[in-house]
Formats: sequence, C-alpha cells, structure tokens
Amino acid sequence: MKAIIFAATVLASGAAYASSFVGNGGSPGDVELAVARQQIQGTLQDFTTWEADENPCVCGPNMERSSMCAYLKDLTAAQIRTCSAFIHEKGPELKALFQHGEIQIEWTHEKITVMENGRRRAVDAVANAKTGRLTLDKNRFVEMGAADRIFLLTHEGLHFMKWKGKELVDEGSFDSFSGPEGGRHFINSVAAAVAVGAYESNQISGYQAALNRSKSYKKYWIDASITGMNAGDSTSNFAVKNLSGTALAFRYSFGDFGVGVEYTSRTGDKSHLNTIKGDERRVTTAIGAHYRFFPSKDPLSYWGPSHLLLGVKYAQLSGTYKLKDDFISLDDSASVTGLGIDCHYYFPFRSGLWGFVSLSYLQAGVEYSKVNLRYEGNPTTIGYGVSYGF
Amino acid sequence: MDFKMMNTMKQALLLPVLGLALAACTPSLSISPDENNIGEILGGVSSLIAPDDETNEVAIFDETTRKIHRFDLGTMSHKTALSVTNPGEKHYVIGDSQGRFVVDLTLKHLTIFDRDGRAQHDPIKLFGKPRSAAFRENLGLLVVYDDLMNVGIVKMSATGLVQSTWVGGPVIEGATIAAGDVDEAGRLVLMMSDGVIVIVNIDQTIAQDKWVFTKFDSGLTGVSWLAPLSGDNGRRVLVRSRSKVAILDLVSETNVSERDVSGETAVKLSKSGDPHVITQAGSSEITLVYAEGAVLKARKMFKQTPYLMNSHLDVNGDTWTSVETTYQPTIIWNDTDQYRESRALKKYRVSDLRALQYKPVVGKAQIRLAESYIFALFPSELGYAVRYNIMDDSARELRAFNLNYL
Repeated sequence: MKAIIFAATVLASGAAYASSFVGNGGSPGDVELAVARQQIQGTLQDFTTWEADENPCVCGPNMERSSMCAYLKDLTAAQIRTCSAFIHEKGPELKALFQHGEIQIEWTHEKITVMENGRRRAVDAVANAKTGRLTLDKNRFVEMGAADRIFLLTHEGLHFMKWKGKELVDEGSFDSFSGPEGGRHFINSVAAAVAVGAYESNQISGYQAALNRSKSYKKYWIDASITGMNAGDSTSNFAVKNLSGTALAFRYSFGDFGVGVEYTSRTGDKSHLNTIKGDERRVTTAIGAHYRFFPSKDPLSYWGPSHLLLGVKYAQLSGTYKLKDDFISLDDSASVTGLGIDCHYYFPFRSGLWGFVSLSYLQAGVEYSKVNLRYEGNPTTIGYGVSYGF
Repeated sequence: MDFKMMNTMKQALLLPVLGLALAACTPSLSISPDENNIGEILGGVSSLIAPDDETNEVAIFDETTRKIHRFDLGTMSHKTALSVTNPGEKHYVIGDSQGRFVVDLTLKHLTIFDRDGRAQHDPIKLFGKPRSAAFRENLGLLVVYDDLMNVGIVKMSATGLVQSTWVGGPVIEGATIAAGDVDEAGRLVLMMSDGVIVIVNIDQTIAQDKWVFTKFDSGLTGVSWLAPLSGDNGRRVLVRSRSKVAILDLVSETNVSERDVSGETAVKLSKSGDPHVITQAGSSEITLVYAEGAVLKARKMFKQTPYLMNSHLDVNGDTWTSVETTYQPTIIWNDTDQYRESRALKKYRVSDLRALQYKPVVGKAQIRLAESYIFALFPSELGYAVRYNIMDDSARELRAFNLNYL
C-alpha cells in the first residue's frame, strides 16, 4: 500500500482541478473523509492519555504485520524519539486542524501530478499551506483502506504545521531525519504512527460499520418493491378495494436530483354475493423526476445516509378487469394517464443495498364501462422493498 | 214371499256384492292429490310460454337473484328485473306474452305488476295458500284457487291495472268445485262434484257479487281435471275422471267423445298447447290422449320412459314435444325444472309418431319451452340466459343482464 500512496505539497509545484466539498454524505468520499477525520482526531485524543515515556512511533507486536509498520520499523532510536516527541507535543494541534475545519479540503477527479526533482509524478493529494487548501484525488481516496486514508490525511495535515520553527515539508532533512527527503520520512513516520494508533485505539474498527453502509451518492439505482394499492373510492360492489403486486424502478441521480422510470403490476380481487368474482390487474408505467434530502445531519450515524426522495411523475395506468361467476365472464379494460407524486424513504443496508418504504398518489380514476365499475377516487400506494445503488 | 219378490231381494243383496266385486276387479285411473284444481297448479302454470315464437316476452322468477326477469325473446333482450316481496319464498310467475303485466304468486301473496312495472299487492284477499290459477292473458283474467277452496277472480286492463276483483266459495247449488278453468270466451267452466258442468259469467259474477252461471249435467262422475280445448272459442272441454277421458260440448251440453282409461295411470295432465292426457299402462307403455275437433284420439308408445316433466301438444302443427328425465317425477303437472340434470327434449310428429328431434337439455338452468325453442335461464348471479333452437344447434345468448342490479 505504501507504494501507491503519494502525497505532496503544492510547494512541489503541483497542479490539480478541484471541486468543492460538501460533506453531507451525498457525494462519493464524504463518508470516507468524515470517518478518516474522526479517526485521526480520536487517535490523537487517545495519544494525549499516553504517558510521556510511552512511544507511539513503535509498532507493537500485534501490529508488526501492518503495512503501516513498514514506515516505523526501520526508524533509529533518535528518529523514534523525534517522532514521539512531535506527537506528544503537537498532537493536540494536529487534532485541532481536523476538528475545526481549518483545512479546506477539496476533491478532484483529475489525476494530481507534482514536479519533484525535475520530473513529474502522480500523487493522491496535494496540500497548499499558503492557501490552507488540501486537494484529494476523490477516486483514489474512496478506493483506499481506512488506515491508508488516515495516513494520507495526516501526512497532508502535517504540511500545514510548523515544529521547532520549521514548516513541515517533504524536501530536505528534518531533525534526526536526515537526507534530501528527511522531511518526507519524518512526516510519513508521524502519519504511520497515527494510522497504527488508530488500529490500537479501535478507531478503525469503531467506524467500520459506517464505512460499510451503502452509500447514497450512487448514480444508478434499481428499486424492487412489494406494493399495496388502495384502488380508490367506488360505489360499485365490484370495486376492488386493494391491489397488491410488485414494482420495479430505475433511477438516475445527479446529485440530489434525478430522473427515473417505474413499472408496477398489481392485482386484486373482489367477491360479491355467492359466486361473483372480479379480478383486476393494473399496470402502471411512469416517468418522473425526484429530489432527495437527508433528514439526519450526521453522515456517520446509521440514519445519516438515509434520505427522503420526493418525486413527481407522469403515469399511464392500464387496467384489466375480469368479472365472472360460475357461468359467464366479462372482460373489460381501461387506460388512463395522470400526474402523481411519491415519497420514498431509503435506509442503508450494506454492499450497495438499501431498504425503503414508499407512499405515492396518482391522479387517475379508472372506469370499466362494460362492467359498470368506476373508481371515483384516485389510487394511493404504499410499498416496501430493496434498492441497489451502483 | 212370491218368486218375484225373492228375486228382487236376491238382486238387492247381490247388487252391492257385485258392485264391490266389479269395483275390486276394475282398476280405476287414480286421482293425484295435485288434481281438483282450477286452472293449473302453481308449479305448472308458470312453466309455459306461449308458442308465438318471435314476439314472445317471458317473465321468470330467477331463483338465483330472487327477482322477476322480463325478457323479450324476439330480440333476445332483457327488459327489466322486478323486485318482489318476500324474495326468499317460492314464487310462481305468470307473464303476459305481450309484456303488459306480470303475476307473481307466492304461497302467501299475490302481486300484479302492470306494464310499467308498478306493483299491485294482494288485490284479492285469500285466507288460504294459493294452490292453482287459471289465466287468460288476452282477456286480462286471472282466477286463483287456494287450499281453502276459495276462488279469487281478478280482472285487469290491457296495461295490467287491476279493474275488479271478486272472491267466492267453492259450493254452487250444493255441489263443490271439482275442477275448472277459464275458457277462450272468458268464462269460468267448472266441473262440480255431482257431475254438473257450471259455466260462470265472470263479469256478472263480479257485478252481482255472487256466482252467476248456467249449468248442465255432464253424466260423468269423479272428474278431477278439466281443460278447455284450444281454438274453439270455448265450445268444448277435455275432462278426465277416474275411468274416462272425455270431450264435453258446452253448446250441445253433451259428451261427444270418450275413452275408457281404466287400468291406466295418469302420468301427465297437460294444458300446454292443446290439452292432453298421458297415461301409463305397465312399465313402458304410454298413451297420449287428446282431442282433434270433437273426437278423442290416442297414440300408444312402447318402450318409452314415462318420466315426463313437460308435455306440449300442437295438434294443428302435428307436433308433440316433451321434456323427459331419467329421474322419476313426482308431479303430474308440467314442470321442466323439477330436476335440472339429465333432461332431454323429444319432438314427435303426432300423426305417425315419427321422432323429429332429440336433444339433451342444458343442466342447472330453469327452462321454458316454446314451440321452436327452449329458453334457459342459468343460475348465474351476473345473469345468463340462452335461447336454444330446438330443430338445430343455433342459440342466442344474453349475458350479464343483472349487472345493473348488482
């Protein structure tokens, strides 16, 4: 993992295109970034409880196999002291950087490249200490593991700090970390210590559930649900009160807006007197647009990713009705179009799966003239189902 | 005591003995408890429709929806459905073929619906249960006979409005009504228990509030069934007694033709079309007895099932149509619906008894028989009726006519 994480400061003449960061969980990386920031803060808070002689820059026996320990295992005693001293002394300051949002973090979908030692190379993030801006390659960040994100963010955060009168940069020696990249070596050591500390203080495992929850920023959604429809008021004895069936929907989301199509098929029956039975089937096809919002402000809580989807749609309802008794049957059909509104509430499962409940209303009274059946009211539908976002 | 006196005494002693012996040796045509009626027993009076095929309307009580339907069988359309009082009871419906009125009889009530479907409940008050009825639709005459032997007469207008009514008892000049019917002239013809024929003037009877009649002695005894002949304007009646079937001429007041049916059992007394009697001798020999003008005719058939549910005779058309069943009917009057499975229709040419048609009758349905078709009302709550042509397999359906009433 070490080999693919590259961080840089803009001082190394980086160039990147960034997008603004909202952070409500509705965009890719929001949750991962919020979790990483929380984990860094939690770990640094945990370090404050350590005794002065406890050394966070040494991998414990349980962590020796961690990839992060590769940054620490070859440290000299002096480097370990330097690293540990920094964490004990500047840990709260580093924590405050992430806690108070003093760093303006931006996403970019572009590849970030920096010029180092006369040659250009790709990196995952770039920090500009002068502007206080940290740019992250969104796709790379989302794909990383939790420890790598902690490492990357800590590394970049350190570029916004000074210690012993010096800015923390990658180039040149720093204290006991000598050589042209001594600064990078030091910064990586501190970042690795924070990442290892995150494991040991259960910050990694503590946020696993939040990271595993399905993400709401997916563009494509497929909904499958079981629905029950109140067919609408009617004075006819043949009126089916309730129909039930299944619905299949596909949505495309761009941010909090989206469009979609829906297909539903529902059936219901009604008995009258001793032998009369009516069987009704309604098929609805609809196109519509929707807007979503997140009632919960905390994207890391269970309800954080859950969201409401409010939609309007234009639907065509096609119905068939078979009225029969022991001797004859009558078939009738009807087709009507109308506007409708609906509301879905999605709550996250895992692996892109969601559960949802829905309520919809369609302004479309149905009439079957051959069987003297007219629904005066408009159908309302409730449903529940699962959704997959990808 | 002289010889003459002794002979007289011997005769006096022997005659009753001989009489008893003759009575014991000569089987008589048994009288069904369903006889001794005026018109037809309720179960039979509603089972027929007039033979005027193309213009007929039929009224039928739907035992499924418990309403009276009126159908136009010419256009095969449903005209209306009438709600009845006491729908849970057994209803007997007599419909006017022109759709002018419908008579609904139950064992408690009489309702007459006029042309527009307006109900006139119990225009006459009978304390007994209506048992039989005679009906002349073209004259607007209805005579109802109850189980207390009261005779109720209702006269209706051409649109079915009740115009006048009268109720009388069964005893006229000391004798009691044994059988009767309304003839084509609008007279109530009654056979009395003493063998006297009474011809009642209905209009005068209503007007004077008493039986107004003429009479003559028929010379017959034990008559239990009387049917005016069709197409002779009330001149003759066909009667059956314990031992005879006879034609009585009401003008000449004579018995113009008779047939001894001693030893035979009456299995069907039918007034459908031309009145006729079907008797059975043995297990598979039946005899059709009918009037052709003033002459009684008979046709014997062998190896026939005697289980006749309905028998319709058209003498002029030379056809005899019956509905048979494999079940054994317990009724002597016409009722095509007593059993609703295993029914079959047979049609014969009367003159030589050539079979013209044999076809199974649909199951489950209430059926009404006309000259050339069977009308079947199925127990469908949605409403399903079919008019089957008797002579071929064509049929006309009427579906879902109850939709507006459900």
